[in-house]
Amino acid sequence: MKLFVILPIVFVPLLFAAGNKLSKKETESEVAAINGILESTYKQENVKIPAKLDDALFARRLYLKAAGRIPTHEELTSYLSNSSKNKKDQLVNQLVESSAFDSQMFNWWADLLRLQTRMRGGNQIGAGQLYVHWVKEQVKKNVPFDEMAFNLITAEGYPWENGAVGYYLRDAGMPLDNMSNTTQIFLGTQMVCAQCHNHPFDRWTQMEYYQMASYTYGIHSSKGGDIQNKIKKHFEKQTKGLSSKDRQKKVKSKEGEALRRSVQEMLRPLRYGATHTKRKLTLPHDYQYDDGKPKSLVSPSPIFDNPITQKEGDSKVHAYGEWMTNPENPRFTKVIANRMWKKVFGRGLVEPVDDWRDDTIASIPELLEQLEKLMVRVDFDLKEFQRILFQVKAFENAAPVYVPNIETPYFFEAPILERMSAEQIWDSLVALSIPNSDERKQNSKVIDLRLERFQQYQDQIESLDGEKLSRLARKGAKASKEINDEMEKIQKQLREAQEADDREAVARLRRDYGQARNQQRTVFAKLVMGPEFEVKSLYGNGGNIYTKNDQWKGYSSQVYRASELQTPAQPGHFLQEFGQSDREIADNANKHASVTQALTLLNGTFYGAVFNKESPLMKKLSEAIEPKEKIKVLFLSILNREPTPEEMKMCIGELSESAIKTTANIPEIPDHLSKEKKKAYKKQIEKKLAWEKFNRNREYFAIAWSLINTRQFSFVQ
Amino acid sequence: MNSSLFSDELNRRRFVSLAAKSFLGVSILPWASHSSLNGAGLGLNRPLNYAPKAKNVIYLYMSGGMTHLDTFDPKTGTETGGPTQTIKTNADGVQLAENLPLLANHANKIAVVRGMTSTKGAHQQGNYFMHTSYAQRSTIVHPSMGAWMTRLDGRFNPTLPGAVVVGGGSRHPLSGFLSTSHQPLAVGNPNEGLKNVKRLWGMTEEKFEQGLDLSQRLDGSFIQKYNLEKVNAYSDMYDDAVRLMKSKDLQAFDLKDESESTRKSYGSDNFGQGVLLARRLVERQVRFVEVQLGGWDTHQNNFSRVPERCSILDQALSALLDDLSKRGLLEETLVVLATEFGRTPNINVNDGRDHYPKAFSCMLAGGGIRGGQVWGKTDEEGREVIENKVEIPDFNATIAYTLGLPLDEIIYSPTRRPFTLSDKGQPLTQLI
Repeated sequence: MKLFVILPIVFVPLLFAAGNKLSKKETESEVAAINGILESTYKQENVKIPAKLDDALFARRLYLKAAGRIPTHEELTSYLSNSSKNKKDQLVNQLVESSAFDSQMFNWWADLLRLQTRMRGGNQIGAGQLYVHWVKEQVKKNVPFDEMAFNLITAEGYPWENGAVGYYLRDAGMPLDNMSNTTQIFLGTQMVCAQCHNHPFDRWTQMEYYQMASYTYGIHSSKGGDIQNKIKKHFEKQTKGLSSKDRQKKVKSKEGEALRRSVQEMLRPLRYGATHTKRKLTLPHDYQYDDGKPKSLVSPSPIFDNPITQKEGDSKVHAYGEWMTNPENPRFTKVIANRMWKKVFGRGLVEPVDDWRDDTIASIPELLEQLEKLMVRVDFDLKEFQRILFQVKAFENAAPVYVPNIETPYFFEAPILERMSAEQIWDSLVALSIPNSDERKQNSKVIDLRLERFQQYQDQIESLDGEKLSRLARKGAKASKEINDEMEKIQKQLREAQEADDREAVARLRRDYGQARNQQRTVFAKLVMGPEFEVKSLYGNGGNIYTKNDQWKGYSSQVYRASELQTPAQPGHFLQEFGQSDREIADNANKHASVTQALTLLNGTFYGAVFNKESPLMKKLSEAIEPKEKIKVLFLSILNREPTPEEMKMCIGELSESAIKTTANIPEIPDHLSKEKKKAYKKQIEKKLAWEKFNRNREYFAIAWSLINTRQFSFVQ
Repeated sequence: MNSSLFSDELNRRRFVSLAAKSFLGVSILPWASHSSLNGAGLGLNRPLNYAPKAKNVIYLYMSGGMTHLDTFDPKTGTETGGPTQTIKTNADGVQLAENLPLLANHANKIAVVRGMTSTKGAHQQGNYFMHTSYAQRSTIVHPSMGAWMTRLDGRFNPTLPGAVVVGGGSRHPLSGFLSTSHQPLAVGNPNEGLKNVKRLWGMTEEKFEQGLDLSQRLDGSFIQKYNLEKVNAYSDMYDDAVRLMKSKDLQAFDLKDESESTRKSYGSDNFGQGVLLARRLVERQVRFVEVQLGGWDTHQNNFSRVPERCSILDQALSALLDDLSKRGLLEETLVVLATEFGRTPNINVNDGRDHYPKAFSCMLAGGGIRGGQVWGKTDEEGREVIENKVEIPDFNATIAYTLGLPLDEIIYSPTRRPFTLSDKGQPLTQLI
């Protein structure tokens, strides 16, 4: 009998051995190696080790780090009652495989890559949404970090073919800035100053900047050129016999103009994407150093000593991508290992994490070396890497009672005290408000449908030869004539209204123009694809991605985890107020205190969702009968620990007599009443009891409110 | 340890000021007897040699890099000037671009600074430099002017925040390394006013107080254990939030108090309403109100987009100058218009202008600034500053000088690095 119980436990780790997963034994030895380095550092530096967290607070920390939110009441109590000796490791293994893990990893990527649902590049076709979707898919598949970086840097094609092109669309038209972002994100190296002059604090020269930038300078973020050429060639063939004067005339005629416009509209969905061309980079016209002449050609060269080798048949950017993500690259592996360490321990071995210099020394150099090796060993599998770090002994210790400042080294006796990130606080409140919060997601079918429609459109257009395309364009010009005239008319009126400063008219005309434009788009899409085609898939976000789901019937339609909301959230949204990155620059989230945060926690609208009578918190509260039980529910759900006896006393002291009373007086129904009257009477009593119960609970809301407004709630100890 | 040093320094200055006041029988603070000034730090910390007129600041920030050539430094008739025409104003010697027709009627109130120059050509860096007078570093965040102001000179209104930023985004340096008690309050949409200032439904004031008290008691041992700046910052913020909720001046955030015609005069867009909000706040002695107007990054279609931006700016700024002077507030309110850099004189293939930090324009008005003047000059094509170059720290020092803030007072960051409010900037006293 006993054997049966043990068997599965023994074999589960073996299953993990597939892929990049380390076996139980390998995991133990990696964890031990890190523990060993830390312990000898403590000895050497005379570090005082803080006490271990108790089970409850440890679970809180681990859930926040690995699931991106606090544990629910059920999750916590089941962990606390688990008597297994290695329950910590079990929880680690369970959480990294959960969809909650993917949710918080997506947030991490979104901050790093500056993901915006409404991205400027390709905004007309909603390319930002496709990029966001692509990143989510990669996270879900747990694509290794080096592969992901390589895919981003070498991305080519249309956004539906390869969502990674968002990496270039994000910086459309700014290839130099894009390069600075690349070195900052993947090499932890700040080169932006060297764009205009030699770096004042680092060794980078402007020449080196240009040499590095020339690997990706060929990026072209608009597509559809080859199809346009097809059409152009066809027209040229048709006008071959004409004199150049007549040809000019034809091109400049009204019909010519309408035709061009028609081609443009027809190809609009195919306008955005990425192609790496052979375009060469030249030095700026005011280049001021001796190592190059202004406007002269720059030949590509990497910034570090490990050479770039371009294999035959490989493109320049492929060679560049390989150079960047190769373990031989002196910074790539270290930078991501350090970022992951910071993600788990709240601070990097090297700080800041994105400004490495030649003389940068980690606070524990040996540990950085070890982590670099580990990162290579797990093949850049960030999930596996974090799984190991979560099992490091120091991760179990209470945060130190001081804040290590940035100039003095920190020896990692424990993760530092951190305020929850904006996403962590929001997601924690979401978990208090709706059941199964990790599973409430955008409707992925809407996006899948978009991807499919785009592909169909592309296939259709590409299947047509020049003649057929031209014929379609002619048809389109005719079919859209009316709507074009209408649009021109609106534009003229718009100009007049602007001059007259008639703002109301301007707003109205803009709306009209938008409608007309949608009509025009419909005309073209149906012309190309037939009358059944759904044009809205091609533009904007393709319809409502927050479709109703019975599982959350009766819950607010706005309560989704941060990773499922528009990214970044709207200005003024809870997430923005608590410092979610505006995604303008990489790693731009902050955890600063502000008055608006305090106002939100005191009076915010989110309480409506938390105190909804169907919310997990309220349901648990109703289930508990005794006042002490109810208070315990609140503590376990919000602060994720049991109250101390003094705290219990304080809270009980807040309650009125009627709230303490656990049994209500149910009046008896007088026997002499008629059947109908009895029924009515009973109903009335039920109503009264419900009201009393609600009122009793209200006093517990007040205690929940007090708990949410403690520092203990928003900080992770 | 450090902080006691600061307060000694503060006390010394305060003593000198007070001594001057009582011994000489003159007040260097013409408004010191004003009854609404019962807040902390009554502005006693001012240099004695100059009686500053400005008390508060309205700071209009043109985010994205405002073209100088099509606004305050037009070059009509040259290739770089583009199609933008120049118009006369009500002040001799001040000419503006045609895009600012309403402001032309208030030119006698403004000083145009045409000789601005900077080396920061990227948005983030340029924006940061203009707001803080320091180059952006990854090891520290410097405070913005509003935070410096309350740090060095205190708040005037005890219940409202010392500084407010309307529409500033998440990149604003805010209070930087200064304590969060100097943090400017960020307002997203001026029409919505301040969100979440009303107690939850059904919560009485008594319950609210009791609940907060319970919070504090439950947090007792945690706060004792983690007696850290980042934890304590929240206590400050809660104090401020509660004070704000109870403030009788909270009404200032409600623009519905203004007449329809006043609201309209500022323009119905967020910027115009933000500027109106700024006026309401400085009336109640909020020290520094910043309002941002974005969309100036005109790499494409400069000549259709700039007029559109300008119409918003022109209307709001003119209404503000008009309103302030009618209310007799222009003397004590410094109005600043700033941006991170100008735009290239060369017009690019997309009919746009690119980033150009070498030469650009800013503007000052009110607060003791002599109106109707132009300071500095660029060459014929707007490429180089050829007269009276003004670096960004100098410009910020000028703002501080009109307010009487001590330019040389050193404040140490928590990492013990010394900073002054405008770095090494020198004020343009000629403008006053």
